[in-house]
Parts: sequence; structure tokens; C-alpha cells
Amino acid sequence: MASKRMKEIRENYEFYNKLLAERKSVFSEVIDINSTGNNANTLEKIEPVKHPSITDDMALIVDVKVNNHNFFQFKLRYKSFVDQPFFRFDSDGDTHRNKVDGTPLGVQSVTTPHFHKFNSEGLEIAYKTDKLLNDNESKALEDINLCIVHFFHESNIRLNKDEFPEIKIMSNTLGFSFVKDDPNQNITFP
Amino acid sequence: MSLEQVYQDIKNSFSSLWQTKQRGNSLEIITPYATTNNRFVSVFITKQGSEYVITDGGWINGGVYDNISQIEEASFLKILFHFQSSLGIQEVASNDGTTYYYLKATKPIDIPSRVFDLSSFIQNIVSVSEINFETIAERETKARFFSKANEFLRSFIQSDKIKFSQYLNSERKELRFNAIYYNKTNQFTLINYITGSTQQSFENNIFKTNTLFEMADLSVYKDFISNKVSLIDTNASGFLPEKIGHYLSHLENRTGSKMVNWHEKQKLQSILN
Repeated sequence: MASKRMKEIRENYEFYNKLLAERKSVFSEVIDINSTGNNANTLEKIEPVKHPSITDDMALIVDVKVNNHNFFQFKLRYKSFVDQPFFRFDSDGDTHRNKVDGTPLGVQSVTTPHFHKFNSEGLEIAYKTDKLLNDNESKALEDINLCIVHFFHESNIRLNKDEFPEIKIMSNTLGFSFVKDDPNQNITFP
Repeated sequence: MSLEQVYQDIKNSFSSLWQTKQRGNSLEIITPYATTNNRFVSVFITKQGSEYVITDGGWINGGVYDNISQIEEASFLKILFHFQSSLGIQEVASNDGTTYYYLKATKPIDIPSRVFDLSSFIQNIVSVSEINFETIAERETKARFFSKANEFLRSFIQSDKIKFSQYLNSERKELRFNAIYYNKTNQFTLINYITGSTQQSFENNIFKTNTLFEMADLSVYKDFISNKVSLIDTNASGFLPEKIGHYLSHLENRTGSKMVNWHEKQKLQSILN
């Protein structure tokens, strides 16, 4: 849980930074997202990721909400180290609180879209990159295929030498793109 | 800094946390209320006819706050009902089965008060969902199987014919089943899911289902029950057929319920149709 400090990360912060900083590789040119994972409202695809300093695989998890394809998450998880993802991007959803002493309450709030990583205390913090702070660029990054490139740059992952995978959502169907920005839409409240 | 200045700083800091996002016809209001997993609570305001509706956007039930559903946990439910009834929070299910919590206001003057109550509700419920009433493995096993089972039932049943996590007597909140399928007027099928991360929890879920079915057969609704179905999670780590088989046989013989193993889940379609 985000409120807890991750002991493994705090005690191995150099290793954590290495996991993030070193060049990692994925191998699928197309990431096809067709089925739900553990949660019926979320489509999920898990791809193996190779890191030069570790022998086993880490995982890239791509989650997309079934009823809103503009609401997606990219996560990096290395279960041999910590169970929960150690780096993540949220395109939409809730606003994170960076509860860090010395940070004024008024600026502890970080709306989506945002990235999540851990600080040296093992506390999960959210942040926006310069691209996400720019309204036009942030708008462009609502496109999952542009956004994965940004995620790959931020977490140093590539396909082959310097390429990026393409994401296809529900390619096994007629391919309707579901967008539901307004959660109250089409619901009658008696 | 004088204490008066400190107070002004507190007030300004709190005020600056309020933010909004326009979402179609709704306005998302990000409030200064935060959960124990460091998420600021959002509420969504829409106009419906002459009324204002303030909702959680389905975010609690959808797990958007990274909260895991504990709707099967008795202690959690007591807390949920306490907050729901104290704050007068209403709920409705959308077509895809997501529960929305909401409040209404007919006059704009009442909206801030509703936002105050709904935010407080969301903050408490999301925070309480962080408590490990059960082991994490048990919570995850249940959450995974319930989600899969609900999705499967929804795949072939019209949304107005099935209710999930539904009480047999909804007014008195008694005898809650994982799903109730309304075959036709005055006829329904009770469906309960059996899973568990350990042998013991799997057994407990068999006993619970047994009791629920027996009590339903003793209730005033007994003549309306056309079928009782136990859906067995054959992928769960607590599913050890050689050890729990006799409990399952007892459930079947005692209550006349039909057993459906998850790996043969298609059988459910013929039972329900």
C-alpha cells in the first residue's frame, strides 16, 4: 500500500535506482491487449522485460479500463524484489498526495496524468514530467501509443536498439474504442 | 510567525487543495480529504433533471484508489453500513455492475454539505479497505474469483435479470448471496461462490454457503427459489478435492444445490436457461 514505506526499497535504494536507470529491453513489436486480468473492469497484458543486471525477468504490465480506453496504466514490477510495481504511469484516475515533510500541503497534491516512483525513504511519490506539465503535450499523450514512448524514455526501456512497441486494444473484436471520460454518463440515479 | 498567521497559512493551504476537472457533463472536484494510502478524494457532480447528483464516480467499487474490495468481509460491511446509514449515502449499480455511491440535492445551497458528507464517506471507506481483516492472499483470491465469476455471468445474462452481492431480504439486509438471477416474475436462482486461499478458508466458505441455502429454504421466499447453485473455484489454492470432497457432497445432498466447477462453468448457462 502506498501509505507504507517500502523497506526493501529504502534499504536497497542504489539497486532500486539501477533497476530504473539502466537500459532495459522488451521483445514484442505489438502489445495486443485483449483480455481482462485479475479485475473484470480492466484489460491487462503482461510483457517480460530484460534488465542487464538481473538474471530473471521483470514485467511490464499494461492495464486499460474496459469502458474507457483513455484510462490506462503502465507498470514495472520485479517480484523478486518487491511485490507491488516499483514504477508506474497513470493516465487518469485519482490525485496522489506526496506526504513529505518540507513540502507545503498546498503542493502535496499531484493530479493525473502522473508517474509514480519511490523516494529514498521508500515512500511512493507521484510526479509530472515537463511534457505532462505542458497542456498541449499532455493532451497528445492521451494517445496510448504516444504515451508508451514517453514511458519508455522515462524508465529507459526499448524494443530492439531504439524502437518502441505498438499497442493494440481489443484487436480481436471489431475494435470499437470505448471512451467514457464522464463517469456519471448514462447512469440514472433514482 | 504569529499563531494568527499560522492559522491563515493553514486555511490557505487547505483551500489551495481544491481542484476541478471537467468531464463531459460532470465536474470532478478534487477535495482536500486524503485517504490513508495518500489519495485525495474526488467527487463528481452532475445535473439530472432539476436535481444535482454528487457521486463517487464508481471509483470505490472500481478500485481506482488502489483499494481491494472487501465486500465479503463481515467486519468491513459493518463499517460500510455504519457510514452509509449515518451519512445517508445511496447506491445504484450501473449496467456493467459497478456500484455508485451518491447523494442528491434539490437546492444548490445544500450541495456543499453533500460534498462534505460524500467526501468523508469515500475517505473512510477507502482507508478502511486498507485494513487486513483477512490475509492478503485470501483477499486477493476472493477478489479475483468474484470478479471473474461476475464477469462470466454478465457475459450471457441481461443486466436487469441479475444482481450481485444481493440480499434475499434487501430491506432487512439478511442472507446475502454472491448473485441472484431473476429467471422470471416470482422466480429466482441463488448463486454462491466458493473459493479460498487455504483449505480452512475454502471449507469455511462451503459451510457458509450451506447455511445460507438452508436458511433461504426456511424463509418466506422459499417457494420462489427455483434453483440453488454453488460455483466452485477449482483454481484456488485451497481447493483440495481429496480433503474437501465430503463437505461439498454434504452441501449438495443437504441443500439440493447444483455444483458447478469453474473449469466447467459453461454448465451454468444450461442450468440458468
